[in-house]
Amino acid sequence: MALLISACGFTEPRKFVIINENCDTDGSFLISSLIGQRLRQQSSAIVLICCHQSLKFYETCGKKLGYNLIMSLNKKSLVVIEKLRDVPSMTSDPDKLLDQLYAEINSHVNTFKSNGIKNVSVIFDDITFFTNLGCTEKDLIKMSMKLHKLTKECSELSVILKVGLSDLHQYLTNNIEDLSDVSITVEKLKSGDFWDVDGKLKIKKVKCENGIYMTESERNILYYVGDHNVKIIAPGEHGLKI
Amino acid sequence: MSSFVKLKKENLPEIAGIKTSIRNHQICSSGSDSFDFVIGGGIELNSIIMIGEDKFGRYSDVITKLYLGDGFHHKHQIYFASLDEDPMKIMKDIPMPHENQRQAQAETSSNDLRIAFRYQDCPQIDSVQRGHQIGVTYDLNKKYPKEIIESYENIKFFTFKDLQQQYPRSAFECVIEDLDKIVKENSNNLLRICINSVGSPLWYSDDFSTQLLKFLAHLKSITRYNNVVCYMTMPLHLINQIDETLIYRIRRLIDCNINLESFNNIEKQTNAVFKQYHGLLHIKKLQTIAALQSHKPEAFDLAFKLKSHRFVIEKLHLPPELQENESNEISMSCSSSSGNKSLDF
Repeated sequence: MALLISACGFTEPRKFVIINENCDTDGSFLISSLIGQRLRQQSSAIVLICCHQSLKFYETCGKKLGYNLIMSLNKKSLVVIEKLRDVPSMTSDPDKLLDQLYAEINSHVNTFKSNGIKNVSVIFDDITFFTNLGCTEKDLIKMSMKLHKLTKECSELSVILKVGLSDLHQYLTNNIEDLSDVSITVEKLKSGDFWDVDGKLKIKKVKCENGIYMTESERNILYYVGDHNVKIIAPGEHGLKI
Repeated sequence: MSSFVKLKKENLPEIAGIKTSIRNHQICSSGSDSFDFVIGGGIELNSIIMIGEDKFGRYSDVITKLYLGDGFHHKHQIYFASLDEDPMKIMKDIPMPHENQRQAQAETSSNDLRIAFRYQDCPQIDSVQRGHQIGVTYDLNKKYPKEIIESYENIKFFTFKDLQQQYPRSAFECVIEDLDKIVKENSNNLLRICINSVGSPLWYSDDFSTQLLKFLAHLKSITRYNNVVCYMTMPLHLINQIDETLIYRIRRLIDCNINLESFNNIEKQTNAVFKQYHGLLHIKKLQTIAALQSHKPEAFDLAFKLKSHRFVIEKLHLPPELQENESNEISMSCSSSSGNKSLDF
């Protein structure tokens, strides 16, 4: 797990991370491991926005990965905005919907800031969920830009955005990728299903020097999700050993 | 220290027909032991399962009846929406449980090999997909009497007539409104939602794709936070005609997707490989409600067979070659059938 976390750059002080999920892939294991890593840090807090998976899912997976979300909820180092639960009562106006959400995130971040917490992470589990509720890609780009601006204003804050079906939302993905410090793409193997490997992670780290964004490193790793851990494998590691 | 986390019983609802899976989540049966085995023991509570219909919906109807039959047997609350067919007509065909469950599960014949006695102790190769846990199995030939079905109270239908009465509202809006009401009233029992042929022409509207996705998001919200399992069938060959990317968006919002392909075309029907089956079963997505990793079935190449009493899923394999060649000659795979040339690569 530690290898995955460091390979994805979650240990580095990256402010804006994007997780792209291609069709028929699930990057929830990245969110789960990231939550575990952030909760173990001293003076840290998380604002988790659940749209794709419920809190119960992360709680159950967390127990398997070795952390307890309920304890963090009780300690008030974790705030959960369960948008999936609120779908029936949500407003049908997409602009209002995202504005309300942004205001909610902002207020939680400010509360953490005023409590003197040094590392605040906003984890957005699937921003494209809102396309099902009538939001356009432009609305979501605006929302991402607002969150990006918030990271610039607030030194304690880092934002992790998950974009589902990123290969179908190319316009959205490209625009958010331009803002990101790290972009992780979860892909299926082109050669089909394989017992020991579930898919491929493309990790691209970007560095900003004098206002110019440059690619710092780009690497591909394979992953396998087990019930209690996630293994990473270098491409070519699996094969016939003579 | 072991990382095993035992599920606390006091937190779980005690509802008939629900058991705990090895993945530490509550599951209920789909009515077919083969199907349950393939998806990892059963349908997980709070999940949406979608069956991609075969071309004429013959075999997906069988799975629907089994699913409803299991709900009926365990006295679950049922919500059944079907615009294409009268739901009551389908309900009248739901199967009854086998009288002798153990016998139905085993279904093994005693092979007393007298000549090839050496093979007596060899383990039998059974390509049928089924688990060891004994649950309720259903006999497709036995049906409940009409009176019992009609007197069942825990059921609500949504038909084409209901839709006509609620015109200009779409079917999606009506179903969601019904479900919201039922979920508020139902707290102790399991609600089994069954939506038949979502996406058939009777569900169409001007902005069908948008409405369908909104409906599924709403449905996901309802199923995740209540005692609900949702089963629906979808004619994928029609959905793909509307938008090829729509199926990926749909699959994102549901938890499990299994597609049926029946052998309607002559090519596959006459192919010796497929002769003993009625169709193929394609696993597209498996449920991950309480785990990072979904269940991995023994094999992904699966085929189904509709026997007189039950629906069976088997590993797809080549039939044994028992027949001799017509010419009674031993032929090599790389040699031509004409006897003059020995080899012709």
